[in-house]
Amino acid sequence: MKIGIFLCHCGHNIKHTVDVARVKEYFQKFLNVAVAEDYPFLCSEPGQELIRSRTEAEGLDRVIIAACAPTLHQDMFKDLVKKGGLNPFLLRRVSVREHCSWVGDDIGKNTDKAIRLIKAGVYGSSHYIPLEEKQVDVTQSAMVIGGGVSGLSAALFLSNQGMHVYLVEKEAELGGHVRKLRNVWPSGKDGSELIDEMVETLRDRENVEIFTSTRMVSFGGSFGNYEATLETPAGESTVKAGGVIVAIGFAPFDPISKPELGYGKDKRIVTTLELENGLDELGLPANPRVAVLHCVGSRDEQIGKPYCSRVCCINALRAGQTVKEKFEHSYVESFYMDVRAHPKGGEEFYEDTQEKGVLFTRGNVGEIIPTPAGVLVRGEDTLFGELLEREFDLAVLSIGMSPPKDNQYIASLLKITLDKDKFFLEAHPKLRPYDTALKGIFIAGTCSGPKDMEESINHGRASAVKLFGLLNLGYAFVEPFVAMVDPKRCSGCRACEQACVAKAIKFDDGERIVRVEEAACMGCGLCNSTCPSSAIGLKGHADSSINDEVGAILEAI
Amino acid sequence: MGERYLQEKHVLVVGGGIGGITAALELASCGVRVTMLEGGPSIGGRMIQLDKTFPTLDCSSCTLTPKMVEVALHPRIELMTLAKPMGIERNGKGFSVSIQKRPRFVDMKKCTACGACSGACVMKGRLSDEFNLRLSKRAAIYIPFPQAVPQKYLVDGDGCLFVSRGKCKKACVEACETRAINFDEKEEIIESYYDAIVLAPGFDLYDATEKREYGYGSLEGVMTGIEFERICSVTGPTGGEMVINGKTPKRFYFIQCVGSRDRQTGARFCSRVCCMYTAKHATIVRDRVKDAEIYVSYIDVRAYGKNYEEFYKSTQEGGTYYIRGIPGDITQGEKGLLVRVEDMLSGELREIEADLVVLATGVRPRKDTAELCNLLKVDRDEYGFIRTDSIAPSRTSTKGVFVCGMASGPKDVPDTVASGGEAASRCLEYIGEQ
Repeated sequence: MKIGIFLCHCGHNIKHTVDVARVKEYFQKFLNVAVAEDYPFLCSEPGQELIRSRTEAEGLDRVIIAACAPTLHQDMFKDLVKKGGLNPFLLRRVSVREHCSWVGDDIGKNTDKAIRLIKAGVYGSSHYIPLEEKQVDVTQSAMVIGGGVSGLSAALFLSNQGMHVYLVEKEAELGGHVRKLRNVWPSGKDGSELIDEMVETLRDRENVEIFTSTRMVSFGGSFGNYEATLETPAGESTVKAGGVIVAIGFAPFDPISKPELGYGKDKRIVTTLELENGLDELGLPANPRVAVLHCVGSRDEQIGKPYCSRVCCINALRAGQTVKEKFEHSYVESFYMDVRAHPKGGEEFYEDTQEKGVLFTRGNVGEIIPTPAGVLVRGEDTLFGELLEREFDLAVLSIGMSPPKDNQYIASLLKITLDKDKFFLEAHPKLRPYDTALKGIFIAGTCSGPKDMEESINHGRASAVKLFGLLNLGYAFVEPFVAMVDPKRCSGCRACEQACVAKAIKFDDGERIVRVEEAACMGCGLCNSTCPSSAIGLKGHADSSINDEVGAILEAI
Repeated sequence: MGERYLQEKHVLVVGGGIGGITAALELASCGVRVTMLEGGPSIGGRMIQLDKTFPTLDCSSCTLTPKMVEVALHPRIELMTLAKPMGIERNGKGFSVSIQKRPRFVDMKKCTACGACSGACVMKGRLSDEFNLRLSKRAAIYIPFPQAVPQKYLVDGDGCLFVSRGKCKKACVEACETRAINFDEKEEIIESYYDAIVLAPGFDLYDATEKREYGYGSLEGVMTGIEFERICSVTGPTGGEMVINGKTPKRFYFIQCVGSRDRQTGARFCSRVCCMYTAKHATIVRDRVKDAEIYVSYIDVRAYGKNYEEFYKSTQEGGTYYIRGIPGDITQGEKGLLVRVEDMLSGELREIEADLVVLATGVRPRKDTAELCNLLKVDRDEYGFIRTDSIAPSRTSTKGVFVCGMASGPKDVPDTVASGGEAASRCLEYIGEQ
C-alpha cells in the first residue's frame, strides 16, 4: 500500500501551535508512507496541484489530508484525488485545525496529538474499500393517499409537472372536510366551490388516475419503486409509484366522549361543524341566547387530548359571527381559555367579533344541562374566580381535531411512525415538517397535527415539490455508505430486520440469511449495532476501521 | 419531464434566511438554476441568531448550518452576498434584474477564514457587532459569526479607516498570508434575466424604544427578546453565560405582545412567535439560573403548534409564574426594576421587582420590503406585509413573483419552511407555462 500524507499549515492557524516539520519527519519514516508533504495552504491552487500531481505520479492508494475539518472543502479534495486517479472514497481527512491546533497552545502536546490523529487516519483508512455512488432507476409517478385539500394540492402540482399521479380516496367523493365548509375563513368562499375547481382540473389531466371509495390493502417496495394494491369498486388494482404522499387528514373530535357536555342528548347542543349548514333548522327564538365553547377536545389532558387544535378558536369566532349576522339582537357568549387568533387576519377578526357584540368570558365549562327552558351552562369564570351558571337557547361546541381514523392502519402498512397523540410523526419538527424517516414518503396536512386550510395547502404542495425533486430525473443517486452482509457470518436471526427503520433488510428464505436492498438503505447503522455476530456492517465504516482508529488514538497500536 | 425544460430556467431568490434557503434548495433539486441574493455578508437570516428553537430546544445552528452549507455547495445555486436588486423590469414572462453587489474587499477564492486579519486590525474591539445586536465589539475586517456561509471575512467599509478615510497602516494586508485582501474592489452592477422571482426578505422586530413606558434604551436591565437570545447563545457576547452588566440576574420578568395586538403601536396583528419564544426563554433561564424567579405577562398564551401547548405547560410546571395582564410601566426602584401590572385573574394591582425585563417584541415587515415591492409592483397590506391569497399562499399581485416566510406575515420556523416549499411549487408551475 502507498500512502500519501499532506499536511496543511493553514497559514499560522496550524503552523503556530503544531510543529509541522516534526510531524512530517515522523511520517516520512512511517510504514507504507510514500509521500509526506507540508504546504502553507493546501486549498490554494498550488496546494491543490501538489495533491493531484503527487497522487498521480506516485500511484497512491490512500490520501490523508491533515488540515481543517472535513466539512470544509470536502468535495474539492475528493475531486482532486479523483483527478489524480484514486477512488475518492479512499481519501481521508484529518482535522488538525479544529480538533488540535485551535484547541490548545502547547506546541509539544499539540504536535504529539496531531501525530496521533494522523496515525488514526492512516490505520482507519487502511480498511477502506473503493466505493461508487450508485444510480437507481425510479418510477416517475406518485401515489397521493387522501383527497382533501392537502392531497389535492399535492396532486395538482405533481401532475402539472408531468408526473403520473394516483389519487386514492376512501370516501366516494373528493374534498375532505373543506367541501363541507360553507364559508371558508378568511376568504369567505364556499368550500365545495374551491374543491370542485381543484377536482375538475385534476379530472382533465390524462396523467391523473383518481380512485374513490378505495382502500389500500398492501404496500411494499422501496424508494423509487413502491408498489401498492388498491381495493377499488371495480376490483383490485396494483399501482407502482416512486413516492407517496400521505394526506389522510383528521377526524373531528366527537364530543360524545365528553358526556358532561350533553352532546347527542339534545338538539340544542351542536358542534361548529354542524353549524356550517346554517341556523335555519335549529328552531331558534327571535333573540336567541347562544353559548360558544372553545377547546372542546383540545387542551384537555383528562381525555388524552393535551394538544391545541389550532383552528377551533377561529371556528368559534366564526360561529359567534354567524349568529350575530343572522340575529342582531342575540346574546352570544364565548367561553375560552386563551383566544388563539394567531392566523393572518385572525386578531382583527377577533376584535371584529367583539365589536359585533359577542361577549368573551374566560372560563371553563364543566357541564351543560338541557332543561325545558334551555340549556344550562355551568362552570367557572377564571377571571373573577366565581362559579357561573347561565341559560342559553343553543350551545355550540368548537370541536378540535383528532387523529385520522386510519392512522394505525396506514402507519403499519407504510411502516411509518405515529407521535404520542397518534398523528403521524415528522422527521424533524422544524426543518423537515412533512418528511418521514422513509425516503420518498411524506406526510402532508392535518394527518401530522392540526392545521388550517392555508397551512394544509402549503404542506401538500411543499411535500410534492420535495418528492418531485427526488424523482424528476428518472433516476436517483444512492449513497454508497449502505449496509452489507457477510453471508458467512450471518446466522439468520433477523434482529437487524427488526431494527431497520427503512425496511431495507429482507430475509432470504432459501439461504436463511438477510440481504440488503441498497436503494432503500439509509446508512443509519442501526442494523450494525444490533447484530450479535458482527455480520452486518456499513460500507466505508467497517468496525475494523473504527477499532483501529480508536486504537491509534489511544496509542494501543 | 422536469429536467428537460427546467435546467434552462433561472430563478432569483431574494433573501437567505430559512424561507429563502428552503425555496432555493427545493427549486435547485428540481433542476432549476437559482441565484440567491443576500443583503448581508452571510446567509442564515434570523434563525441563525437564535440560541435554541421551541418546542424541542434543539440548537438552531446545529439544524440550520447544514442547510446553509448545502446552499453554498449546490452546483445549481449561485450565492451572492452583500447583494440586492436595484432595478427590475418585466421582460416577457420573466424579469431583467440589475443587482448591486457591494465590495467585500476580500477575495473569496483566497480567504481561508484563518482570522489573522481580524486580529491585526487597528479597529479590533472597537466596532459594534450587528450579529450580536451591538452587544459586543468586533474589528473592521471580520466574519459575522463562526458558522457564517460563505466562510469568508469581509471589510466593513464604514468602520475601516482605510476605506472610509484613506488612512491606515493596513496591518490586515500584512497579516494575510494568502494576500486575499483587496481594497481596489469596487461595487458591481450585474444585469441578468430571471424567469421568476421568490421574495424571502424576512422581517424586522418592533422598535421597543417607541414604547417609552417600558424604558427600553434608558433603563438598565430592560432588553428585547432577540438581545436576550444572543445572551443565551454560546456564540453570543457572553459565550452563553447568563451575565448582564457583570451580574447574573435572579429575578426575570418577560413581557409578551410588545408591539403586537396593540393598536397604539400600529399593529393589531398577532406576531405568532413571541408566546413561544418567551416560554423558551423562561425554560432556558430555569435551566441555567437555578434559583431564578421568573414571571411572564401575557394576554392569551398562543401555543398553537405541534407540542407547543405541552411546552407551555411544562414551562409553567417548571416554576414560571404566568400573569394575565400586560404591565403599564417599568420604573427604576431601589432594589431593581419595578414592574407595575394589573393581574386580571386576581384583580390586584401588583408591583414586582425584577433584575432583568425582557420585552417580547413583535414582528414587522423588513425595512427594505417596501422598496423591493415598489420595484416589482407587488401589493402590500395595511401593515406593509406582502399581500397574498389564502388559497395560493405564496402568490403575489405580480405574476411570476412569489413570496415565502415572514414577508407575507408572521410565521414560525415550520410554517416558514412549508411556505418556502409552497413558493417553490408555484414558481415551478409558472416557469413551466412558458
